[in-house]
Amino acid sequence: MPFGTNLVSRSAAAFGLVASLLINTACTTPGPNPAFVQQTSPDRIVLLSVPFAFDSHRLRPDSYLELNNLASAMLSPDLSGYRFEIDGHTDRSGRFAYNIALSQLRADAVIQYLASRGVPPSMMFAQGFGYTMPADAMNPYSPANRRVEVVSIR
Amino acid sequence: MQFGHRSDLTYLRQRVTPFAFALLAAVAVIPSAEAQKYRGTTLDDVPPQQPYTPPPALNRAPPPAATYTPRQPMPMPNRPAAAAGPRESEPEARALADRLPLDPATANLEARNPADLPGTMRQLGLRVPNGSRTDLRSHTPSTRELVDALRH
Repeated sequence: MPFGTNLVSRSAAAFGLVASLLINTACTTPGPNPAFVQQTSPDRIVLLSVPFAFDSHRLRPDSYLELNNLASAMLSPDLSGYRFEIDGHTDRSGRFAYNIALSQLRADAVIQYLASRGVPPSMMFAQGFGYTMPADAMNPYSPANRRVEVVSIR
Repeated sequence: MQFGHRSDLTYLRQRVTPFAFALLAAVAVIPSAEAQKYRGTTLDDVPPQQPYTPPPALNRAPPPAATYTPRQPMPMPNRPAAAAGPRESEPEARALADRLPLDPATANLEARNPADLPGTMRQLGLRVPNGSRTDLRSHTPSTRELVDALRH
């Protein structure tokens, strides 16, 4: 193989790697935010019933009041210095991987809305758990398992 | 009174005989009177009998023959018809599901032991929260309520 061709192919590979890293960073992919790994005290977890349309990650208008209150709470001086993790959960219907993705997108939608209400995105991190952590383990298909949890980390 | 005595037999004959004759006459006359009604008629004079018409309540079309309908399964709360469910109509979620860093065995977690979940969480890079929970799903919590619930 001529040297020039090798150089071109290596450059293309490097460009592809950088591009894929950039795309992966921009897109939503589950994974821990390193800033949230260190914590000094146990979490405080608040369960909210943020309503979504069935099989959708679009927020319903009737969830705005609850999220507005949540944004105000996150911005209050009492919670300054806290970080917040938004966890999405689903019920047992559907494929495992799809539910992980759907719950991740729902948590992302909550974060986007909170950011639009003035909460700095650096304070928040979204995770999608799918149906792996049901609130009602005896009834995995129960609507009670479709929920959003807000975790405050100090 | 002594039976066999002539005077007694005469007495009986005189007393009983009229009644016996009256009884015989009645037996002979009553059928005769009944026959008098139909005297001079033949079978052709009898009006033809009307065909039988069932009463309206019974004069209905027979019900259609019952056809077998398979019994529908009872709807079970908290359990959809199929485990796969009606989901997966969200294209973004489908695309993201295909990008998840899951090996095929983990992607088919439905068939696996729930005890494998911690390993799956690690594989997905999820941080499992650990702490006290406050359930505010029964109502729309106020800002103050949320601050109190989230504060350590």
